[in-house]
Amino acid sequence: MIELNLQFLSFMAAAVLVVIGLGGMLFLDNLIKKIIAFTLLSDGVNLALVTLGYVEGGIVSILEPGTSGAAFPTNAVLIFGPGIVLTNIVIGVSTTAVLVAVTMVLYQRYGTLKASKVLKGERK
Amino acid sequence: MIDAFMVIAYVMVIGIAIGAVAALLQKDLLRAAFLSGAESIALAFLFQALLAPDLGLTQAIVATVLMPGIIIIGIFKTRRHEEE
Repeated sequence: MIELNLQFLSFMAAAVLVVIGLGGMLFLDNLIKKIIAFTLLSDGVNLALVTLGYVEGGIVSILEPGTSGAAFPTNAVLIFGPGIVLTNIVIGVSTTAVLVAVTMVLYQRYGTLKASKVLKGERK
Repeated sequence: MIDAFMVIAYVMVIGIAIGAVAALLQKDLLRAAFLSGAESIALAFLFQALLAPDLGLTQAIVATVLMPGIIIIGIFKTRRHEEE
């Protein structure tokens, strides 16, 4: 019997996001929809990385004045995953901006947002 | 053991799944961008529940406002409705 705790629940959400994002990127035809699916995939990977560092019943990894120094390393959540994800969120936005810019150029050149028509290469 | 924290986490996980599926099923691309923002704010609450408040704040500002904003600019420069 699997215990339904917060970590398992978050892993399930991350798995759902990765599956939906990957499926959307592969099988949807609209270029903007592909970009939205890419952001969903990126969110899923971020959630999986944060969930890996979660400690059940732990504390936020900020050393407050009242906290004892000996209990802090065993109770605090791991900081490495969130440190990476904080960068990844910001980089994800700039990646999205580049993808949108490429989509706008493709729309000016081919007059359509369908990936199948763009791949055929018929100019407007 | 079910407490209020877990109830919020359940609601947010269900919100993430529904928002992600609904965003990709829309024909109107503007509505899809807003729904992806809704999914993103649910993810921000889940980050808060996972004891990473810095990520929650960043996700709530950057990924909820800026990301749909950029996509909406792209939609206005191209076309709003998905073609047949």
